[in-house]
Amino acid sequence: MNGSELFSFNLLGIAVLIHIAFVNITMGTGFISAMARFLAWRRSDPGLEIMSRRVFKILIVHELFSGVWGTVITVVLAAFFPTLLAIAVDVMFFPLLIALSAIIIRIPTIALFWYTWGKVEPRIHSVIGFVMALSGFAVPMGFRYIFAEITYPHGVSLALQNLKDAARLEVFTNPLYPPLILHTWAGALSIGGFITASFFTIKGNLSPKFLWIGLWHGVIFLAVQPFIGLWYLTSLGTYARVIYNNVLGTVHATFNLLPMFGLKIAAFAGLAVFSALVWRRVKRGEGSAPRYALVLGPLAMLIVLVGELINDAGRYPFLVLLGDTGLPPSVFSNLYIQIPYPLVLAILSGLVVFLFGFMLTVYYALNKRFLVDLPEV
Amino acid sequence: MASQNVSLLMPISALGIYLHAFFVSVTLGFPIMISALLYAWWRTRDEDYYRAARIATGVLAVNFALGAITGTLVEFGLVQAWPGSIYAVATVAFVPLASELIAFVGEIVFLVAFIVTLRWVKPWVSIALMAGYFAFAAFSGVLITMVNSWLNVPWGTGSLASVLNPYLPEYGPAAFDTRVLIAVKLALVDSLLTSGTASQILQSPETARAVGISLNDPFIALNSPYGLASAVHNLTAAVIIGMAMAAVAFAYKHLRTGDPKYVKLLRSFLPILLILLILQPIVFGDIMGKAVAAFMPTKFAMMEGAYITKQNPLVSFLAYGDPSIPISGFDEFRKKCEMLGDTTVGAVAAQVLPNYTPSPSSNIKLKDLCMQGLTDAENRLAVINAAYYVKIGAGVVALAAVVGLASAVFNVGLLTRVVLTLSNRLGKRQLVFLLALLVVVGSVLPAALGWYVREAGRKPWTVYGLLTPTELVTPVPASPLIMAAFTAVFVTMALGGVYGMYLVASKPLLFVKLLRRGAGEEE
Repeated sequence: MNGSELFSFNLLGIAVLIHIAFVNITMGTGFISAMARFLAWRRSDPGLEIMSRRVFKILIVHELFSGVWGTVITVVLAAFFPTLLAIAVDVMFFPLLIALSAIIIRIPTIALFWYTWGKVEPRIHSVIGFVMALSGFAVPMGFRYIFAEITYPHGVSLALQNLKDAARLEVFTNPLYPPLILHTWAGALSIGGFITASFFTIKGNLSPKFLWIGLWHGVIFLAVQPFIGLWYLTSLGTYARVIYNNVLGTVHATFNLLPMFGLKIAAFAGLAVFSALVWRRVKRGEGSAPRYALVLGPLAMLIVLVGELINDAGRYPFLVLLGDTGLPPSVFSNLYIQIPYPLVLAILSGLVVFLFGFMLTVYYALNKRFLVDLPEV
Repeated sequence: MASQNVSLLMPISALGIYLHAFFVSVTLGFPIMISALLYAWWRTRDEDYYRAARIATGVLAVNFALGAITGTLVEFGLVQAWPGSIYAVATVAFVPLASELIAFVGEIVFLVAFIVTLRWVKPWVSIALMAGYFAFAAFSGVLITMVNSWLNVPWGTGSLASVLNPYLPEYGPAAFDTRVLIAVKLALVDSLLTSGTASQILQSPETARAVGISLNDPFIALNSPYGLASAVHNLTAAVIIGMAMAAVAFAYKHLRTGDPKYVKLLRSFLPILLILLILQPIVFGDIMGKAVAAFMPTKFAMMEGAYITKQNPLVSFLAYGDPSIPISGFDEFRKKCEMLGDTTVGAVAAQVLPNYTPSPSSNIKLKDLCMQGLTDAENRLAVINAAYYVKIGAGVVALAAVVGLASAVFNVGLLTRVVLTLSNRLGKRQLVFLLALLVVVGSVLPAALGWYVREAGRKPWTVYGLLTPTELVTPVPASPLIMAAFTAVFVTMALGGVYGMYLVASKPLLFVKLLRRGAGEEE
């Protein structure tokens, strides 16, 4: 890869990582909020309704920002890899339509879930909540087909043989997809649980009962991850040797990611240990929340980010993999203009500044005033 | 197949754009209204202003979510339904769309910051945060309008459009490599003729390499005079609609309750709405009209109903600054097409492209293409002409209504006395509501029709004078059933969102008690 290829490759990767970080939070917290709201209604437990609202606020402040980074990915693809995007919107037309439909449902239902709270019957509100939560999971259901196809071009290979109609359906049977999407969903649910647990450990939001609910959500989905992860890894071994070799740092590795994989395993082990310790202290929501429960969310986030980094950077120096080899980014690069790099760097700097501004606002919103100030008063 | 896809996808794209425009209007209009309310709260410490600002902020938040989602749909739909547009995104739209990311992120950061700090910081800080939000929202609007304007007037393509259609003017400097553009156009047309669809040529890395550098000035779209006129005109229209919606909401509450506080709230921002409604036709609309007359002759002829060249001193004066210049009609355009003689596509291509080899499009006469474009445009003339003049009429109604409304709620001497005389017959509350309703109708109708004129008026092209929808549409056979289901989901969610905005604005929060009980504060 030359300098400009590496820049575009990294730019795309960074946008994907930031997006993944935010969407995991929103997907996971969305599910927990909807579930808590449903249980509040079924059990007539207003305490759970309080929890649902508070968890939902975590989602609200992150959702649009996560969406922005999805748009960043689209723009980066169109601007830097127009050929790849042109292929994707054709061969993966239907998966993208699924993702788009899910986004269309997701964002308005988030707004509706928040603003119809107490204004419609609990039964209807719970339905809105579940539609909101499930539509969040349907978004990666569509987009992960792209990841599966650039890792193992199952449908795209047919398209290259001019069998486009068959290819557009064949993408749905990509063998890498099932473990990838299950890994994604379980990761998001696990993160949602651990972020919730950490959130209710913060001074001012302290609640062992709510922490416990977040914790068991996180632990359940964390427990299934080794099995799904192993399935995904062995699938990579079969269908995408480049990533497989890079993850395990074999002699054929083109970019040794074994240290990163080791970090992921270590973080997983650490999360399991901390979860067990916290579990013992706040079993069934009783007892007191230990301060170290704060690390649960960040650790879970670290695991997901490192996992995604391995999955995406593991294809280096290729963008699209073809078994033991692949196609470099230059095949799909924008050759139509001289990219104005000073402008691109200025935009990136602006995005970073806003990212920090946003994090500051989120901190302010979640820890200082927002939680107690919005419509409860 | 391309034509079928165009027939199916064009209405869906249009619907998405219209819905987006609706939400964008609130996004741009409400910040000014909210700021005005906060300013009044700051000066008077009257809590009515604060409460109204708070409710309006809730509506704005729901609306922003809907605006973001419809914007995503439009942007994503652009590349998915019209993948030929990826070439534009990778060239002329690169700078505006990349810059728009900053605008989008800025909007979110400022809006979230505004919401979470409202009441906990001084009012002027809240106003400043809202101003920051508005600035980025407006910046976003400007950039997107610039991209859309390039589709209307492909600034930077030099004389290419006028070579193909001699009645068109030149579009700025030749920032695009003309030979490359001709090669791209030929590849699209040939693909369309041989396989029934065209845009798939962009999927080939070999094609990308063969095309190579197309644009020498990536900032060219931002230099378009048509784009600048459009940006000011569109943004003002959006702000007006958003504020008019707020005005009619307050007038309606006043009508239903008789509570004078709603008139007080209305007064806080009505002068701004009045000024914008005066400026829009007199200044911004005038600049826009002149730009259309200068750069889009077929659209201008359609707007003015000029099947044949005709004299209209008033319109000519407004459009050209000279009442004696006739408005060019389709007869004149056809004469210019005739000037192309028997020149074929192949003959032009062979002159420009050194390695040109005859292709399926070689024997097509340029004159036939030119004439076909005119026939397709002329078929829309009656509708565009009617839409344009209804738009003008509705705009006049809005202007008169806002003057009446201002006279009804402020004391402006004679005008107020006239309005009060009317209110004696109708009732003041009814009159205020009726005038506010006319303002909103007179704002929404011109915007909706104006956008229709803008978009349908550039047909039969997507990129005016250069590229048609069939050359850009997806090669995927779009199933009517699937697209109908997609549209149904989209419309349902949009309607649900609008209902949510209504709930926010109108219903009290019933769950407060429940939550307090949950928190152990009440038994």
